[in-house]
Amino acid sequence: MTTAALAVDNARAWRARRLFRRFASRPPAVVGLVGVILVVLIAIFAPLISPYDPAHGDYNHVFLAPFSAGHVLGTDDLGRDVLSRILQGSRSSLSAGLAATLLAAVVGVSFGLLAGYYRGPLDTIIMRATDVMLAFPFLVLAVGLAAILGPSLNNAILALAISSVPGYVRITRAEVLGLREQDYVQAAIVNGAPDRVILFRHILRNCVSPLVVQASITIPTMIIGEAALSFLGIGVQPPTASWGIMLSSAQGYISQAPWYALIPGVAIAITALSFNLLGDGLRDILDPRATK
Amino acid sequence: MKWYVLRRLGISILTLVLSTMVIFVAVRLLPGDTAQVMAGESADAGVVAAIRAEYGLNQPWPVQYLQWIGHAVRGDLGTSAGTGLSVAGALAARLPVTLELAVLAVLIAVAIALPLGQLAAVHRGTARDYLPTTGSLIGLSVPHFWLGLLLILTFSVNLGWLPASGYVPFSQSPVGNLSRMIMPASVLGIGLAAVLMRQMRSAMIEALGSDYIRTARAKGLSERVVVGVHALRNALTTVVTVLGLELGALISGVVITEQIFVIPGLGKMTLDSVFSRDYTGLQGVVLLTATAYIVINFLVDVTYSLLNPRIRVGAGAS
Repeated sequence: MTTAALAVDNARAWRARRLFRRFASRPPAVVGLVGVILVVLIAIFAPLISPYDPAHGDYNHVFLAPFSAGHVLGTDDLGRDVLSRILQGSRSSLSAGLAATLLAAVVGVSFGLLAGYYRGPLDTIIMRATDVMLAFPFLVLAVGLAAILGPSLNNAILALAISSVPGYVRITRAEVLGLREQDYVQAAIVNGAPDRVILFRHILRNCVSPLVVQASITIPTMIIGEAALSFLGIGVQPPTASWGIMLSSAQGYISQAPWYALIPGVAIAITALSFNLLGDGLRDILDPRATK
Repeated sequence: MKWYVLRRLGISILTLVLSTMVIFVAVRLLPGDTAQVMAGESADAGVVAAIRAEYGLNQPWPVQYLQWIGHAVRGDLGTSAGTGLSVAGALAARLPVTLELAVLAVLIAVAIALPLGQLAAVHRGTARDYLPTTGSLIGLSVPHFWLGLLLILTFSVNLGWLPASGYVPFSQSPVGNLSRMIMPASVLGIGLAAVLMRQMRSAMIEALGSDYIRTARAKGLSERVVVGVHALRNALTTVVTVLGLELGALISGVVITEQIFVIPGLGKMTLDSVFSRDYTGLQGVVLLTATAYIVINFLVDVTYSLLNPRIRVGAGAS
């Protein structure tokens, strides 16, 4: 390794350590990170740690109250163990949140790079397309997609992703417009570096911070969005457990088993709050405009 | 200024035209043959063909599109396959309901977010900052529809103070109307307040650190006048901006809130028309939503540029 490369490496390690220290000095952000890690672990190991089969009903034991024998969070209208269903529901929630965010980011960043780097007619077309996408609010879009393609988790993810693409396009484009005029990018262009290299090595790498911040805002929104769609019956389909479906069935028994309406909501709120806390922490350390 | 508004108007019209094309194509992608649906399941091929000819469904798409637009601008959005009533009539009946809900929600949001955002900004870094800031983060993390269920559980099931659902026109019974609207409007308003409060806080912090506030303080104006009059004027810009940005979320919120509280507005019509496969109705309500979104955003941008002239300089780039 050359000295120069070593120096770059050292500088990176130093920067990473400094970011980590700034992150660790923010208790809410650390709480958020721990919450996110817990939820991810729960989703991964849900089948192993569930006390019961989440789909197994027992008609002799419907609406057992929480803390009754063998059922810490009670049972639902079909006598299924609520804790097991909450654990399994974390999978729908997280997979929807992460998949929709990833999809939106990949598509949005690609178009944002193209629009900001090439400008001209391509830019105009992409920006007008995002305007049109914004004119269809997420739930209207999701409802339309469910009507065309049929209700399913995948179509819900598609609707969630489409609705957050414009945000990624705009952020990436704005960053690229600024970076494009930087001397080092201009130098690379003059030196005849291929567009691919300039876009990915010189520009995309420097857009990472705002994009990470945007992703941390998108994930909890997508998690709540999935729950909303499943609640309305156009997301996850039964018998798969989803926090949204649990809430929609709880609505019918709200006077009979009020606690059943509380538990899935708490699960959604804790998950979304963890991501939001983590996101706020990331914004504080990554976004220079936020540090005052 | 004139050029900015004209340019913005041009973009809005273009967006609207493109949106109508998207709606037109999307409706044609929906499963099921419209003519068959209108004729009924068991109708014979001759009847279906007659309906297809009558409604111009056998024409090429561009012709059908122009006919649809031609009728739409004259206020004719077709008849609902499900109810047999005019779609435009249904929209006109439901629009005031949704408007009332949205206006109440915005008022509640502003009533919560303005004082709290101001409090947090003035007492930055103290408990009076952390409490509302944490509160807004929790507000962002709690799903609308769950909040709705919690309110129903508390105020209808347990306390029995408010009716859990339904709608009564204001003209018929102001008390009945508001007692049914207060919960759904609060659900929407609290969600919006969470976003607005954060924006308000940062806008206020920025304003409090700016030169004109320092000048006002140096002139010896009382702190109440400085914060309440000078800095608050900036808050107006923030409210307008956030409303523009959050309009989509508000519309989505309306759809789900109207469903929970069984309010016969546009949001419920959107869902009902999908579930009953009333595609003419769906097309109409989505067209109205998209148009409203585009028009309101145009107005927000123009208002914003009036309130904050700096934005017009950078406008050429977007």
